[in-house]
Amino acid sequence: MNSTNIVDATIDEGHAVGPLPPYDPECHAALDSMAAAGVEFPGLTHADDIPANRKWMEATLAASTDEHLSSQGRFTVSERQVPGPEGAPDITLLICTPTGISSKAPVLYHTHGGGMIIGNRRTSMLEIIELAHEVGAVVVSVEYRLAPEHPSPANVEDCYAGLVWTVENADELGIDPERVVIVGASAGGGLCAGTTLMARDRQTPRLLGSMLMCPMIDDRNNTASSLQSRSVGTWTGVANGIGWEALLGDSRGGPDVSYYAAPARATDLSGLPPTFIDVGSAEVFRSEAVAYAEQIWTSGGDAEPHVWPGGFHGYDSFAPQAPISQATVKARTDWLRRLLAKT
Amino acid sequence: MQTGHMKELAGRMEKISPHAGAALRAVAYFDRLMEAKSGLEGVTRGAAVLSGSPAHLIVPGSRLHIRVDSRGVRTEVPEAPSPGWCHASVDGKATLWIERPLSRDPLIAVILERAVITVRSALERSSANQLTETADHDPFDVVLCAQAPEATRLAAAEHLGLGRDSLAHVVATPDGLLDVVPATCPRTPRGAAIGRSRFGLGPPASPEKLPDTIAAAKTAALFTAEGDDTDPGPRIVHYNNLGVLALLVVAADPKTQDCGDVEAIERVAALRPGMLRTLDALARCETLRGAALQLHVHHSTLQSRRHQAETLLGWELSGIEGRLRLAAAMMVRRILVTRHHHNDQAHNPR
Repeated sequence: MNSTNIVDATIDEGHAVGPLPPYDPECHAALDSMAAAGVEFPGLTHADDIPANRKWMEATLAASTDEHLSSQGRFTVSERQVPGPEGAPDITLLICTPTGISSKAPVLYHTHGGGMIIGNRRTSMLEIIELAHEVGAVVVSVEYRLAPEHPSPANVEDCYAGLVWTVENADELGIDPERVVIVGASAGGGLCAGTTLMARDRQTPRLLGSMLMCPMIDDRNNTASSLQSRSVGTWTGVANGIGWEALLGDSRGGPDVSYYAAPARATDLSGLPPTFIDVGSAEVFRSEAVAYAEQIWTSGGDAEPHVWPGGFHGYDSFAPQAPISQATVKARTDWLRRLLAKT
Repeated sequence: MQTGHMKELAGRMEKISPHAGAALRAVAYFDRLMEAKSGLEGVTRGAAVLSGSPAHLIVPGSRLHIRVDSRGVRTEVPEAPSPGWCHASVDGKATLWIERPLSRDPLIAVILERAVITVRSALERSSANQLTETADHDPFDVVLCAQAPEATRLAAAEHLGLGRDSLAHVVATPDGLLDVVPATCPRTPRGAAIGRSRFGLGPPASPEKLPDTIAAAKTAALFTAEGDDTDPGPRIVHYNNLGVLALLVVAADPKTQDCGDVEAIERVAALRPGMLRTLDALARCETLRGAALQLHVHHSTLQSRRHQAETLLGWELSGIEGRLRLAAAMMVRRILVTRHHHNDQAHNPR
C-alpha cells in the first residue's frame, strides 16, 4: 500500500482547497504542552504501524479499570458475554449502571472509536460515563471485532447484535427499551451511524436517538477536510485511509461499499431517529459530518450538527479546559436532556 | 496518534511521574497562546489549569476581573485576591493571582512568569492598556499608603477587586501585618491566608478612606488574645465593637500609669494553671453558675477560687463594679502582653 495515494485528490474542480483552518489556541496549547512533556504518540503512516498503535492504546487504557469507571461508586461495573451475529463468536458488553436508580433508566449504547483498527470497549468510557451521569443513564459498551483481522461487516454486525441483546434484556439490565440512545466517537461514530441504519432497515430495535461525535463515515476519504488533513492533525487523512483500507480492503473507495460500513454512502437517510452530530472545523471528518447532517435534512429528518471552530480530531479530550471543549460537552448533554425529556 | 483517550493517558502519566516535565508543559502552553494571540481569559485559564488552582486576572483600567477554576471554567468572583496568594504584576497594568499560599514552588514561578509575558503581549494589542502609577508596587501597600495620591490608591484598589463604592476592612495582626478584605466577603477575613487567624478588623471603609482606618485595625489587634489558658480572650476583634474601650490602649502604658490591678492579676495567675481563664470567665459571665458551666467546674469549686482571687486582687468580684474593674484590668493586661510578645511591631508596615 502506498500511503501517499491513500487520500484521493478528487475534489471538484473550481473549488480551491486551502490549508486546514487554524486550531483553536487553547486546544493547540494543550497539544503543544503534551509534546513538550515528552508524550509521544505512535505514528500511523502504514498498515505495519497498527500493532504499535494497539500496544500504545492498551497501555493508556490500563487506567480505565472497573474501579476507575465506577467513578467513586457512582456506577456499578460488570461484563456480560452475549451472542454475537449468527455464526460468529460471542461478544462482550461492558455495562455501567448508575447506583441507586430505582426506575427504568435510559441507556447509552456505546460503540468505541479507534479507526476501526484499535481500541476496545473501555476506550473513551471515562468521557461517556460523565455524559451518562448527567442524564442518569446506563452505559452498555460493546466489544466489536477489529479490522484488518475481521473485515467488514464484522464490526457493525457485532455492534448490532449487542444492541439487540441489550434491548431484549432490558428488564434484566434495568433499562427502558424505549429510551435507547446509541453514541460513539470517531470510528465509533461511524459504527453508531451504521448500526442506526441497520436498525432502521431491519425495523428493530427502535432507537430514541443517535449521537455521532466527530464520526468516521466516508471511506472515499476525498473530501475537502480529508485533503486539508492529509498529513496534518491528530488523525491524518493518511491514517484515515489506513483504517478504511483495513476494514474494506481493495473495495475501499469503489462502487460496492455498503452504507452500513460507510454511512456517507447512504443516499436515503429518512426514517432515522433524531441525530446529534458534532465535529471540529480543523479535522479530517468535518466535511463528511456536515454533509451527513445536510443529507438527513434533505431526507426530511431531524439532525442537530455542531461544528466547533478550530477543533482538531479529539480536541475535547486533548484539551478539556478549552472553552470550545466545555461548549462541546454542554451541547451533548443538553441534546440528551432534551431528547430524554420528550419521553 | 489516536484520540478520545486523553483522560486515560493523563491518569497514566500521573502514575508514572506526577511532575514530569510540568515546567516544560507550562512554557509550551503559553508560547502557543502568545503565538496564537490568545486573549486574557485564555491566559488566566492556562495559569489555572497548569497550576491546578483557580486563577484571577485583574485589569484595573478595564474594570476586568476574570476568575477561572482549575478545570478551566470561568466562574463568578467569590472573593477578592489575598496578598497571601501567589501573584505577579504585569508592569502595574494588571495583576495575575493564583489561589494558593505564597511559596517558592518553581512550577508556580514558571507559570506566573510565562503568563505575565503572555498577558503583557495581549494587553499591548488591546485597548485595556492604561498605565497606572502603581507600577512596581504591591497594590496592598499602595492602597494602605496615606501618602499616595488618591487616584493611585483607587487604581491599586481595583487591582484588588475593590471598586470605588465598595467597602473593605483593614486587617491587622498583633505583629503588625496588614491586609485588606472586602466588607461583603462572606468568609472569615483572610487572616488564615497570611498564616494567622488572630487579628483586629478596622471599621468598614471605602478604598480612599482605608489608610485612615489602619490605626483602628491595629488598636483592635491589641485586644486579641491567643485564646488559650495562658492568654484567654477572643482571637478576632472588630474595632467597631470596642467603642469607648478603645481608649484603654492610650491609657495602658506602664511607664506613665499605675498598673497595680494588672500586677494583681499576675499574682492570681501564678496561683495555679488555668487561673487566668477562671478570671476571664468571672469577668465575662453574668452569674457564678454561668462561669462554672463555661469552665466545666462545680460552682462551689469556682466559689472558693473566686474567694482566693478576691483576696489577692483586693476587690470583690460578686458585684457589677468589681467585675467591670476585672474586665478592664484583663483588657489592659492583654494589651500589654500583646505589645510585649509582638515586640511592639505594630507600627511597622507589612
